[in-house]
Amino acid sequence: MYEIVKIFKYVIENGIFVYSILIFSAYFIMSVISAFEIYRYMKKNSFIDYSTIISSPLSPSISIIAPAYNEGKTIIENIRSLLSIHYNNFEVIIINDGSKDDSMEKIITHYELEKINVPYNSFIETKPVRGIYKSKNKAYNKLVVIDKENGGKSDSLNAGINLCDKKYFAAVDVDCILEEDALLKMIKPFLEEPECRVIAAGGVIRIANSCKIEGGKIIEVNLSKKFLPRIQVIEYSRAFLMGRMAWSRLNGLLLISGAFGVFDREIALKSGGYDCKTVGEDMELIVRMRRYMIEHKLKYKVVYIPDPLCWTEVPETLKVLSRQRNRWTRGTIETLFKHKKLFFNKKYGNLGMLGHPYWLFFEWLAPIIEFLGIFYFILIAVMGHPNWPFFIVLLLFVYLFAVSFSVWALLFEELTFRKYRRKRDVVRLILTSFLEPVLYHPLNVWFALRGNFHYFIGKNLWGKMDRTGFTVNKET
Amino acid sequence: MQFHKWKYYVITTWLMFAFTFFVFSEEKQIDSIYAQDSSFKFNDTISLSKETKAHQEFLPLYITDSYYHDNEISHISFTDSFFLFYFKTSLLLKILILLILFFIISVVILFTIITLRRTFLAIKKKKEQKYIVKYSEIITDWIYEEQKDLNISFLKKELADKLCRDVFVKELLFLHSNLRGENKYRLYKLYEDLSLKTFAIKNLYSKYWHIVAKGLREIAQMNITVENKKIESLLNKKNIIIRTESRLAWIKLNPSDPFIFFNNPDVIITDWGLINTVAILKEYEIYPDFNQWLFNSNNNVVKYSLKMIGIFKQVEGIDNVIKLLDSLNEDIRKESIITLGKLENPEIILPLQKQFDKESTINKCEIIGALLPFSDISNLSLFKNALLNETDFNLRLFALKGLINLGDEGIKTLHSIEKNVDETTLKIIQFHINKK
Repeated sequence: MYEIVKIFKYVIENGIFVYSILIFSAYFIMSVISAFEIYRYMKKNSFIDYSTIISSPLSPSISIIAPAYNEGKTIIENIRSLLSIHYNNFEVIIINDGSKDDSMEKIITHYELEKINVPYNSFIETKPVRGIYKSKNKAYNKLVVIDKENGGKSDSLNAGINLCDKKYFAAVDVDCILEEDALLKMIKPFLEEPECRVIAAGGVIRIANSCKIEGGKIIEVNLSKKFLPRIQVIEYSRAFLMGRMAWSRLNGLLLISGAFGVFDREIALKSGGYDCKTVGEDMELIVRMRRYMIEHKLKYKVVYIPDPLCWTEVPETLKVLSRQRNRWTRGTIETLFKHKKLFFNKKYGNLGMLGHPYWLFFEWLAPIIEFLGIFYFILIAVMGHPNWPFFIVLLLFVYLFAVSFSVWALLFEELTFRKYRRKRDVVRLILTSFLEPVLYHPLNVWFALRGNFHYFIGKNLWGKMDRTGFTVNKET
Repeated sequence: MQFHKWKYYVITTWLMFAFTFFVFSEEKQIDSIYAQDSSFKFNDTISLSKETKAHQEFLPLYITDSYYHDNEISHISFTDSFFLFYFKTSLLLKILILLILFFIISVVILFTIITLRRTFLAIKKKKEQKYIVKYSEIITDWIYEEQKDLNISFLKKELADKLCRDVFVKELLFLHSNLRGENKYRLYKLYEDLSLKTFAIKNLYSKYWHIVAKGLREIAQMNITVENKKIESLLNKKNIIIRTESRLAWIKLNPSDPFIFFNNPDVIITDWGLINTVAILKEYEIYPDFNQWLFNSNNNVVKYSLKMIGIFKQVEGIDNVIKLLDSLNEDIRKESIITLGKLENPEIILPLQKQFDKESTINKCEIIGALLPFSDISNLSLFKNALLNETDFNLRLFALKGLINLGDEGIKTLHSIEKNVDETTLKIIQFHINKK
């Protein structure tokens, strides 16, 4: 028995240790790659004139597809924001996903819509479409609204893909605020790849809580005074600037945020569109599109650009944050399990050998292993066997690694886009990064564990995201 | 969960200074141990009990009583304890401690960089703003007040400073791109008098690609042709940005032979390059005959030329484009069909009709798209058959539009086939008919 306990102890301690070394090394390598990528991107685009795309007869056509469910509070402002995008060849398709509030009435009245009869083919099966609307007012001729029965976000996006006939589509959360040049910047990677087809592109998502909005545009970037949104600023900077840029370079990107991404419509259709059975539809679609390309032996790329192109509202309460993280965890598990064939499968290149295993070990399993580690330590402490000096050194190491990793991410932000203009905002962010490992990270681990639990007991709800609405400039 | 600002300052200041103090505490130097016991070395084993020796790997943060007694030390500092602990620990702990120190130092340095950079940038911006006002005034005076006597040599000296030069060149290039005629020439004269082209040319030889690209932009805009050989050597560079910029510069500077890079059998042209080339060709009214490259051995060149023929409506190339409908490459056939459509010449109707049955669904869609603008009754049977026999939704939709475009004859045909189409198509037909 003693021998078994000894072996168990050996496996746990060494296993967690090796795992930690691997995860820290992975973070470090990715941040180095990201730094090079961001540097390259910044230099490359420092003298680019994006207006060339606007004035060109060759600019590709794009449909912006934005599903809306009970967004009555902000829908008018949000549509205005989408319509004011700087691009010459685009349309905006809003899908009212059977909202129970007055969203549809508001849109019809404000944008002077009338029901039209246009060819709608269900390339992808969706819930029944009640009607398709266009504006009588020529000022809104780029706007199309689909009114359909409730089927969820994926179902709505699929309805939008069915209707649009442009070469590319941008999937956008309707409550997001896009930068004016978002489409110009996002479409460029599709145009500059000489030897392979770019099937999807994503950009950095920024946090709009406390920012001032006017005419559907961000006019003043403010750092939220509330703790949770502020800490998520650091989290998002780290994820987008230090993680996804590296994955883009390695062509192993598994996720383009559902808040804003541009996709090749033909490939999305051929891959079967969004999966309505998963809550992680954004990640699942990318994986399926990539699989499609590899299985058909087609050269492709999924690209990420570090420009802050989209602003979104993040949870301000623990309850909403818990729901969101719970859903993200379940979405990750669903996608990883659904595409388990990729796991260390050479045929799928970096997707199979790097992307899938990384997500499995370091995104899905990380909170579980972390929890096991803490549980094991408590056990040892209760039994009176911990090596305290070692524990203190290790704890300090982990804490400081996390802090310095966050501060590096803030430096990346500082060297690139500097969206927070006030010096005190940056100082506050740095100081917040000291609290993140002790106050915010444990919560995230807990939410992820709950997500795992809910996934395995089959509790698979989307979870409501309560919006507070953006701070709209009173002068407007 | 909301915290007051002061709490952050207290907590983080505590964290940062606690660690700094931990390492650099001067309460008692480790030297004091040497001073009292010259035989002591860090690698020595301090007198330890048997039990403690068993745990030597992870020594506790204190020294045994016997060592105090033997060396007559009444008190040992935290720093001493730290160093003793460090030198007696395992390699792993040593690495971890070093990493901890690295993280502390890096956080302090990063914090300083981030905060100081803001100040530095604010100063730079203020300076830049000052120069912008100063130089835009100088340049405007130079353009509009010909009598003004500008001290070129003084300005030259001032522009030796990189920031001044960058601001000056930026202002000058901006005005240069927005002016025409004599004013434009005067700006060029100023640029030359100040020997600014030397710096632009120097940029072409930089080892940094982004500086080379900037240099290419500048010399293209200022029409500096002396470096043609250098530009030619960059035309097929591996770096896509240099490649694109050098090609654009070459086209602008050599309007008589703008597409010399087509001679490279492996030339690759991106859509981004294409968009920029079209913009340059239009801006400087350079219209080479793209017909000459339609039978190039490189398919990329052929597709590129086809696109250009379509954009610039070079109808004289129509026969060659029609010949390309027989190409074995499906992409070239597709591009030929699109180009023929853009040429909007009735000559294309018959060849496209003949081609229809040989093509893939995508190309069939393009053919109907190309035929749509012509209300030619000879297309009726093609549209009708496509609507009834093809399975692709988009293709049928195109055929339907084609029939409607044919006017009364088309509508009559639609009425006659109404019973043979599926529900969706019927709905569309009825909508279109009613709309008409």
